[in-house]
Amino acid sequence: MTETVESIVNCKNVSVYYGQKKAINNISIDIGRRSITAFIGPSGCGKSTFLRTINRMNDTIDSCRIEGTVIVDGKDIYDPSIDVVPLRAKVGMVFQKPNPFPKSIYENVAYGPRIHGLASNKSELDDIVEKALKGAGLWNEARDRLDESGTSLSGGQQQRLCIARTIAVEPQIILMDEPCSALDPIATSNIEDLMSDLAKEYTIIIVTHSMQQAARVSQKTAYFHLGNLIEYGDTKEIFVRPKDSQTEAYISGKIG
Amino acid sequence: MTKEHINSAFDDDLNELAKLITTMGNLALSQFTAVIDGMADDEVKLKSLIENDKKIDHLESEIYNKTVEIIAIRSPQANDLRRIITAPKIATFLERIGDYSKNIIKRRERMIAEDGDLNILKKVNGISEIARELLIDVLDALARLDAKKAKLVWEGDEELDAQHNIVYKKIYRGMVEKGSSASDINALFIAKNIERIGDYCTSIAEQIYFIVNAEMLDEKRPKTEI
Repeated sequence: MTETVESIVNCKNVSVYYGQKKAINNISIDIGRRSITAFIGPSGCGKSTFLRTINRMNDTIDSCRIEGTVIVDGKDIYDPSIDVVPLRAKVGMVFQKPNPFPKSIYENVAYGPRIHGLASNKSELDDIVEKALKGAGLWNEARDRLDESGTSLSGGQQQRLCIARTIAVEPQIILMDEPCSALDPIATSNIEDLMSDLAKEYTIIIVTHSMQQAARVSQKTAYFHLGNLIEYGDTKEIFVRPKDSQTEAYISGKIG
Repeated sequence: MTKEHINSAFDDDLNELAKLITTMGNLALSQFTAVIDGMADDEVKLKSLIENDKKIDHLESEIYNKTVEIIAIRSPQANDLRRIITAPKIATFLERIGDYSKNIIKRRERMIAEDGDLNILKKVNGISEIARELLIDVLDALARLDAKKAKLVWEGDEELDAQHNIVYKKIYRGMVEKGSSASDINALFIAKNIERIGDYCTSIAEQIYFIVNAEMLDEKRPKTEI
């Protein structure tokens, strides 16, 4: 049964081109607020490209051109009046490889709130850093070493630091592009556990190559193939009784 | 299988599981066939067939082990998962069918020991044939994953039930009219065992339907009560 969830992202007829090449073909999708949505599909299917349209990360690529509308929280994010800096705070992103700044753990988290003017004094900033580190499940491990370099942490801790950095600027949506593919199984479990907690407050969209991860963490799954959205629905339905034979073939390990 | 997995070892696993089920089904069928073909004939010895039931039991545990192994190693999804998860259930149904064949042999041995008249077992020939047909058809439907044929088996069990009722009443009436003998009672039990084999064929048919359609047959099965 499909639950009715209020949507926060509404994409309509979105196509993305890299030069002449069409990477995303006319995709329409609504994504529910405070839920986890997984994008799955073989390499090159367009899932990461599509993810990056949601916070305009594709703008950094000169040859990239986008058609259609992407509405985030009621606003057309490709409207010329939109400033991408606050957009990317509102729609944060966590990447495949943890990429902390070569600064202290504290500074990694404090940097965003400071440039966005979220704290008016040191004490407020301290509170934001603590709250973000707690939210990312890193506080207990990091509280006594806030001055140490972020790069001194383990891979899993670094990824949680990146999540803390993302949530410190009070986003509504967190985009995760294969956030666990560089992590060991324990660190992966920690991140997955954290995602469930984060979804109480934030909307999470995750691109993952691990079908099991998509099945474990998400409520909705979208299957992409060759730039098309083949099937989108409740994760349980997608993994138990997919409607499309291409989805079935992919999740069963028959195409890649 | 229409599409092969990228990881061919997964196909090997699925083929091995399917082969175990086919072997088990063939054994259960040949056991039942030998039993019903020979049971009314004094000259035929069936006791040694009891040993075959151990092979059927052994296959059941092999199927359980293979199922657990595939789930643990391959993380099957969708249709694959349904094929795998139904395997031990189907194995259990086949094992029960094997048990009923064994029960028939044991009852017949008792009849022989008591100098009973095996001729009475000719009265169950008709239902034996229907049960055999159901078993052949359901094993065929299983090998081909043919949900339509499985549903025909599922519906066809009604005829077996109806014929069983007729046989039951015929033997029962004879008991009332001429007085009951131990052979009559044994024949009634044997008829019931055959009728139960039909029930297990419908249970297997339900699993086939589930594998193919991802939902259980939820219609009410036509039934004839005694």
